[in-house]
Order: sequence, then structure tokens, then C-alpha cells
Amino acid sequence: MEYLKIANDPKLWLVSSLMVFVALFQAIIFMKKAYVAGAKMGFTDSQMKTALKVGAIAAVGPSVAIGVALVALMAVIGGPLGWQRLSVVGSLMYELQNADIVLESFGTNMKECTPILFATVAWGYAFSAAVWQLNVAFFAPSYDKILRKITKGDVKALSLLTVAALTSIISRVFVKYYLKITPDSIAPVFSKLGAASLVGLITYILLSSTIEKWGWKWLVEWTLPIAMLMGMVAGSLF
Amino acid sequence: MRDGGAEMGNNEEIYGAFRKQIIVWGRGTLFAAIVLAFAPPVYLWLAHGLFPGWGNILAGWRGLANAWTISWIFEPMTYFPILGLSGTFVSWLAGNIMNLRIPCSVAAQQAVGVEEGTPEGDVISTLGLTASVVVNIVILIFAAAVGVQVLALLPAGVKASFDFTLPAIIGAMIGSFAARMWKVVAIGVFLTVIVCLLRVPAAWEMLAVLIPSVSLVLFLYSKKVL
Repeated sequence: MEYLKIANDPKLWLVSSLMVFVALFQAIIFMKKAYVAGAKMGFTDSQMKTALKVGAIAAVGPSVAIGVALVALMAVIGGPLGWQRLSVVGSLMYELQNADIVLESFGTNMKECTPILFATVAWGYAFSAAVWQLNVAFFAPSYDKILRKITKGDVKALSLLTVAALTSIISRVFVKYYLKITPDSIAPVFSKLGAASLVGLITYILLSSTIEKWGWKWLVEWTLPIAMLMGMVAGSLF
Repeated sequence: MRDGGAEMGNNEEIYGAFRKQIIVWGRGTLFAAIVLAFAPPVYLWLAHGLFPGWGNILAGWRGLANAWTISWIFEPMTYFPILGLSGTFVSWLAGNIMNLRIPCSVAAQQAVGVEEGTPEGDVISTLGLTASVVVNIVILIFAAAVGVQVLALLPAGVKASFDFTLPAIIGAMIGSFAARMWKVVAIGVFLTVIVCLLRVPAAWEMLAVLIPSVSLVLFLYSKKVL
């Protein structure tokens, strides 16, 4: 795990924080602009403060949940990048996968990561974030028009398309936890990895049906971290 | 919602000016973020001499492009009706869209009683979202600081469980999509098994699943099966 020494280089915290500062700066600028525009539109101070307060309070639960998950992410990709990814642009769902996809191009994985492979993952993170953001920077002002054109008012087709694309990518990893593929045979297996994944899946479904049944909205933001932790426990105990 | 009888036409005008400022600042901050995202790998290169070479960097990027191209193009648009223009700029910089930004945007708009997709809704949503960005960043600074300490104290047995973080998340994500659209998930998993059994070369696997499953899902949707 030599790469983790590099990945936790104290100066890397500073370098990684630059992007977080931009997000903070943007938030403050937008907040000011919205406040001025809101006042002109006739909203009262107390209405706008309510919006700020509600947004802030609604962020506490999910942020704490992300914070818990951050610890797990830090153990794999190091503190600075893990923290940067979850503070800006990234999300818990995608960051380990991105690392995995990059390393797969070299026929390896995070367990066999080296300092130079870690650097390659860092290039991958920057690139993947950049493409989303270029799309938004250039085209977001036209999304309204584009959406109306391609969906013809049918937004469900677009969300089906997105979910179908995302599941195809994920199921590729998922299925391989249960299929042992060697040059001469393909056989089903059930390993620690498979146990972790299955328990993650079942926990998620149980939690989301519980939320629906009992209307426990406060649990929503905890679904992913809890499912993740249960899967991790299952993997180590199996 | 609107006090003092401000007229709708007037609000459209105010919103138009607001929108222009959001586009200018939104683009500026995104471009800055895109450049600064490369700071960590460049630092690893300059300070530690860790440079994998452009060929290897491109190989990694190709893997990512195989996986994400469809999402790169369409995903920002799918959230747009909920997030609005400024929400889109905020969310694609600050991340955590599903689990954090959307709930905060919706909560702020409901609390003030404005409608989503209107100029008033967008302004109020911006206030809620930007407040959520500040709170999220502050909490994660604490979490990271605590995390470093916690990781140092954890016994080896617990640390071993971090090997299962990725499979656990993958399972949870399959679960999250299945909870919403289980048929789409079933199609994806089924096609993946077929592609594995056919021994499609690794470089093509992703597209070999992605293209048929997206086409099949859209086809079934057009036939009203999904």
C-alpha cells in the first residue's frame, strides 16, 4: 500500500482544496445574486432567510452521511482526493468505480495500486470531471430548448435512457462478482466480493421499501451509506 | 409567494438579468474548476516525479469515455427540469446531486411556497442550494479531519473490510436502480451475463452491453412495455 503514502501527502490536501474553494466562491456569488434578484421580485427578507435556512438544514443529514462514507473512501484513495471528490463534483457512488475503470485499462485494480497507477487515477478523475463540466458550461443555458426538442415533452424517456446506461456500466462489474471467467471456463461463484455486493443490494432495497411504507423521509440520505457499511461487514465476515 | 403585487412581466425581466449573471459567473467558475481539477495530478508529477506518460493517461481516459459518454451527454439534462439553470451550475460543480442537492432545492422551494420551474422557484432554489454547498463543505472538512484520526486507530480487521467498499456500493446502486425501475436493471444484468458468456473482448464489453440495453429499453418504452 505504498501509494497511500503519496496519496496522503500533506501538501496534496492544499492542492486538492483549490477546487473546493472555487465551489465555495461560486456558492457565495450565486447566493448574493439570488438575494438581490429575490428582493427585486418582491420576496421579503424573512422568506429568503427561510430558503437559506431550510437549504442549510436539509444539507446537514446528507453531509454527515457523506462524511461517514468519506472515511471508507479515504482508506482506498487517500484523504485529499477522497475529500475533494466528495466536497465537489463527485459522489460516493462513482469515485471508486472511476478509479476501478482507469486501473482496469492496465489490467489491475485498487488492491494492487502503485504510486504511478495512483497518479494515473488522479488524471482520470480530473478528466472525467472536466467533461461533465464542459458540457454544463457550454450547453446548460440551452438545455431547456434541447430537452424540449429531443423529448417532445416526454421526460420519462430521458430518465429511462440514463438509468439504462448507468445500469449497463454497473452491472458489468456486478455480474463479475458471481461469474468466474478463466480462459477455458465460465462458472458461477459466490465469493466475499459477491456477498458484500449482494448484502449491499438487499439492504438498499429493504431500506427504500421501509422508507416508502412508513414514510421515514429522514432515512433517505442514509440509505446508501448504511447499505455500503452492511455490505462491507458482510464481505469481511463471509 | 410574491409580496407587494409585483407584476409577473416585471419578474421575468428581473429573472432575465439574474439569469445572465448566473451564466457569466457559472461559466467562469466552472472553467476555473476544470483547470484546478488537474492540480493534484500535476502536483504528483512535479513534486514526486509521478507521471504515467500521455499514452497511459489516454488509455485510462479511453476506459472512462467508454463508460460515461452517454451519461456525459445526457445526465446533466435529466436533472435540469428539477434543478433549473443556476441549480445546474451549482450542482455540477458541487456534486452529490441525487443524495444532497435535489432534496435541498426541493425543501427550500416548498418552504417558501414557490413553484418549481418558475423564475421565483429558481431564485429560491438557488438560495437553498448555495446554503447547502457551504454547509456540506464545512461538514466534510470536519469529517476528513476526524477521518484521518479514525483511520489511524482502526484495527487491521476493520481495515480489511475496506476491500469490500466497491462491491458494497455497486450492490447498493443496483438496488437503488432496481427499486425505481427493476425491469431496466433486469435487462442490463441479463445482457451483461450474455456478453460475458460470449467472451466479448474486455475493451468492447462495456459498449456491447450499453448499446443493446439502451436500445432495448427505449424500444420497449415506445411499445409501452416499460
